[in-house]
Amino acid sequence: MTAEPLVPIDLAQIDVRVAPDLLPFAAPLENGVTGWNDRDVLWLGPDEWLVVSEPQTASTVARELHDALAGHHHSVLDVSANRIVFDLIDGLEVLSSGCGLDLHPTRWRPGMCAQTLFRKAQVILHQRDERTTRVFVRPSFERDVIDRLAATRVS
Amino acid sequence: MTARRLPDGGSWIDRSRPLTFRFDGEEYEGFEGDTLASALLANDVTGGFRSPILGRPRGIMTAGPEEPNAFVEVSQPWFDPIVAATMVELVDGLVAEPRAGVGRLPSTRVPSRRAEHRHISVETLVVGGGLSGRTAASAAASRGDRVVLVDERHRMNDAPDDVIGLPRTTALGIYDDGYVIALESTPELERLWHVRADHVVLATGATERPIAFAGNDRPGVMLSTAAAVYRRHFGVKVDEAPALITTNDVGLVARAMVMDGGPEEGPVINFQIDPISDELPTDGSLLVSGGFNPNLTLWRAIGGTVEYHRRFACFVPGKGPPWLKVAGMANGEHIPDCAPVWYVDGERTTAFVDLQRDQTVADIADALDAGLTSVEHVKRATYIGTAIDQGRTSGVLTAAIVNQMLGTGPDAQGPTSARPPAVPVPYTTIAGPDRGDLLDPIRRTRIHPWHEEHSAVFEDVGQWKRPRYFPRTGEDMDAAVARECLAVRSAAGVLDASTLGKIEVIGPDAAAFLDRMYTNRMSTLAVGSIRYGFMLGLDGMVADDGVAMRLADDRFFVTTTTGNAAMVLDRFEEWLQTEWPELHVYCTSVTEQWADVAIAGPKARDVLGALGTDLDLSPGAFPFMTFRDGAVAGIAARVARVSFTGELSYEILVDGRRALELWEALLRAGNAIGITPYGTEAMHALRAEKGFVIVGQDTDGTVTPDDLGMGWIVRKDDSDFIGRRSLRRADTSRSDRKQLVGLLSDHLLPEGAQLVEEDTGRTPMATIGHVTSSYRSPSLDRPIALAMVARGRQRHGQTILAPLPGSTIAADVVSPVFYDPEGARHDG
Amino acid sequence: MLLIRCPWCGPRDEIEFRYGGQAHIAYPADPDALSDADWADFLFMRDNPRGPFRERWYHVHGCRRWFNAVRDTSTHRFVATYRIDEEPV
Repeated sequence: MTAEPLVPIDLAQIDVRVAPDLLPFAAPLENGVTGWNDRDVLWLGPDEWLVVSEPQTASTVARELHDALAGHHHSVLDVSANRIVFDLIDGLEVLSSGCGLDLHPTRWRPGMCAQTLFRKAQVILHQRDERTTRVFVRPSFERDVIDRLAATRVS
Repeated sequence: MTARRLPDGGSWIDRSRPLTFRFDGEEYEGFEGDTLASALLANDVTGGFRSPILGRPRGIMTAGPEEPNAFVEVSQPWFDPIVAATMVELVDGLVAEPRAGVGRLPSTRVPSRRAEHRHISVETLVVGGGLSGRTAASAAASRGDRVVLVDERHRMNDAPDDVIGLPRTTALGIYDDGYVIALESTPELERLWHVRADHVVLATGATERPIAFAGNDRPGVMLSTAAAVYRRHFGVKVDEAPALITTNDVGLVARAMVMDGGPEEGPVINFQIDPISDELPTDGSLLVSGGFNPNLTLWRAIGGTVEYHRRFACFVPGKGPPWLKVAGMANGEHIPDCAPVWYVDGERTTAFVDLQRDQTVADIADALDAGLTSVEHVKRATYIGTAIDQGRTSGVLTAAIVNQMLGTGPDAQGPTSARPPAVPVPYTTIAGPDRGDLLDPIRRTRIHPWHEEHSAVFEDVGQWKRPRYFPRTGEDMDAAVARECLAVRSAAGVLDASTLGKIEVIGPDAAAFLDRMYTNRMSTLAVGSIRYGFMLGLDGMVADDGVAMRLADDRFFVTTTTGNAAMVLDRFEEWLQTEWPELHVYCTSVTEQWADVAIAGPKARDVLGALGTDLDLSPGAFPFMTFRDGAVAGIAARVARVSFTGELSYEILVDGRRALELWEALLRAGNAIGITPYGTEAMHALRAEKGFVIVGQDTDGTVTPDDLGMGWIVRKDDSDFIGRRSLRRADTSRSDRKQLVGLLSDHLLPEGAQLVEEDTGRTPMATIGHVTSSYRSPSLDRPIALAMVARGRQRHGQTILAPLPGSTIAADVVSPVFYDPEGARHDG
Repeated sequence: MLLIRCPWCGPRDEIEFRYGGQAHIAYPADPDALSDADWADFLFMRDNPRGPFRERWYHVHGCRRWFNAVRDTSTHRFVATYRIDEEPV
């Protein structure tokens, strides 16, 4: 893992819950990520997705989704503050110090995501490309997760 | 016995790299690749150890983890309280001394190695880097498996291609579904591997076992293959002409290897030819080979069975889990035929079976004479096998001797099984980096940095750190809490309430769903209004409380207590997914999306006005138990008029990222009226003055709403809700149940104090209840308490007693609402 | 540590899950119609077989889905896991 300090990235995050056939974009497979224009759509569950886009776009994305799903039972929530996000570069080894997921590059590939545990903190991992792992974590756990990653990195 | 390093030979040592080390105060030299044991033998240190209980002189008996004698404390360059010298890799500057029996905790800080954890998933894990282990690893790799091969020794032949080879790595335990914990221990680091493998191959080899005979524990007695290992891998010769006592041919081969094919000298007792011998040498070097035990500790710990093999006189694997295989000597392959000789009868009191527990054939005989017949019981009577070598050399021997003495045949009972970890592991290694603040996650709110800067004293609430109080210079807790409480009663205080659980409940059936989850009706709640609710367990007991805000016909915002946030969401999901999939409701945790700041006190409205808001704050436009969305200090906010203090109060919910900004703006706006940050201690005291319960403090899972005097919160119509049926059970409608009351006393009652009607002066006394909350009430300037007391509501006006060590406190039973019983203050 | 196959997320470590007790015990359609004894039976009494056992699990740190499983209580081995809307295997 590279040694730059971990800096949270400001991103819009929208939680969507609806029957999958109603989505205005191609639903990602289980534990997968698809694109929706320039946005990432992360699979969180069989009827739950996280749309991740540029900062300040939360209300735009939410409105688009509301419009597309109008008349159907759905839930669209701005959860941009519900998790902080940072990108780890070459960080799979250090993540494996506290995560039981199979993170071998032949199994854990770009375009995959998972909700799992890093030690005792629930995290969402999104492998963006060969080197970049995006980590979503509740803000209250931010310091714990970052300190734990750093403790493994320096040791 | 004399031992020496030969001028050449030794496949594991590098003679171009001499190392200096200290043992028991003396300085010695060894080579890179030595173990501490091999280096000691090379320096002719053949004894130097003592047995833990009897203090008998002992020497190095083995060359591996089965060593029962040569234990040391390592103090440099790392610290290890107790470890077998045969398993210590020699490094320059190593300092060690003999340590018998148990390790010592150092009184000062000691050097430690880096400690870390690593998870890895593979298709195949092989334990043991010998020939059969490498063969199994190679076969797995060639079919495309990812393979890890671990070996506890510090020297291992190169791993096959495409196999991750980990020398110095001991499998400590093997668990369900191929989960193996292994400890990699090098001079630089201790790394705990968590391996998840589809297939596990145990190629753990076999360990030579000793024979119990009189004086078999003296220095100079060594397992025959250990002597061969020292000769072959370390170039150390343990004697010119050692004697041998053996039950098998391997002992003969080992002795020949030690003697370099030199002239046959010294006595040899071969039980394959001579069933009995009374000429055991009593001094000098004596090699022993009692046969070979497949190493099946890991196999047995996960439930693998063993069977007795008559020709090999040992136990071999039977049945085990489908993902686990045993290979090589561990599987009973290449074990030499062996005469079943376990002990040589004679002076039994010095015929040692477990050298680390100083237990002999006589001790086993005593246990059997006392009537014990099970190996498990003999183990517990003698402690055989319970020392830190886990009975590697004594387990099979003990079972065989018991079988023989009882005349039950060698297959009647097998050895007892050992639990993980397979070798001693320091707790610091298990902890790895998870120490200090990282021991358990510390959850912090967005406003936490401000609390820290302002000297808050924190309280643990689950994993959260919440400010308990904010002491000013010279204040103790009582003074700080009193000041904070009085500020709320007279002006205004602010509380960081961000830890409250928050859930969005959305869908056409949201109201119907919440009606089933709460005891009161949420479907009649008007949009813009708030209702306080109780959630019960199926057993009718109070499980959580909180408020529901109706955002729209099909949308609610629900709060939970800090500690139950996850539980409540899980419960919602459980009922929606498993019982009522027909309900169209989505629940989403937004606990950390929203920060929550409560401002409470008669001047709360003024502060909010001064802060600047587009909301009409007049009581008519914004009444109690309603909420409004608007802007506060320029921040989009949801403002809720609820009160946990009895005072005029607003909870201001904003995007978590703007919480600190709001907090600081509130303090600036309230500066003129003396706005005061308050912590959980003041919050608890303030709510107790009002008789508001805290679920989990005043309730303990055995309390119904009626017990709390809150029967009004349970709707009486025919519609069902969780826990409703249980409220009709005979036990929950008993008339003598404990009920919530207030207590007034001259002295502070300890929380948890038992309450009685009459102090007989003698325990036990019949108790009628207990104190659940107790504070020095700043507003009333006297001690107050809440308590659960049998038939409590009928006792108002009575005096009851709290007998305590040294004194008894009398308390008057009163209504639990001590302050503002009319509820006149929540409008300011 | 058990390896549990979430019907949605695939095999994950046991620590990601919460145990939910015996499966296929429906909440009574009309609790009021039950006697105290029958209600207590629903509330407190569960099977405890040696061998295959149908039970509920919750992927609490993953997709937050409840699902059912058949686990052999004598070996800890999972025979099957299936979605909540699937027929028992």
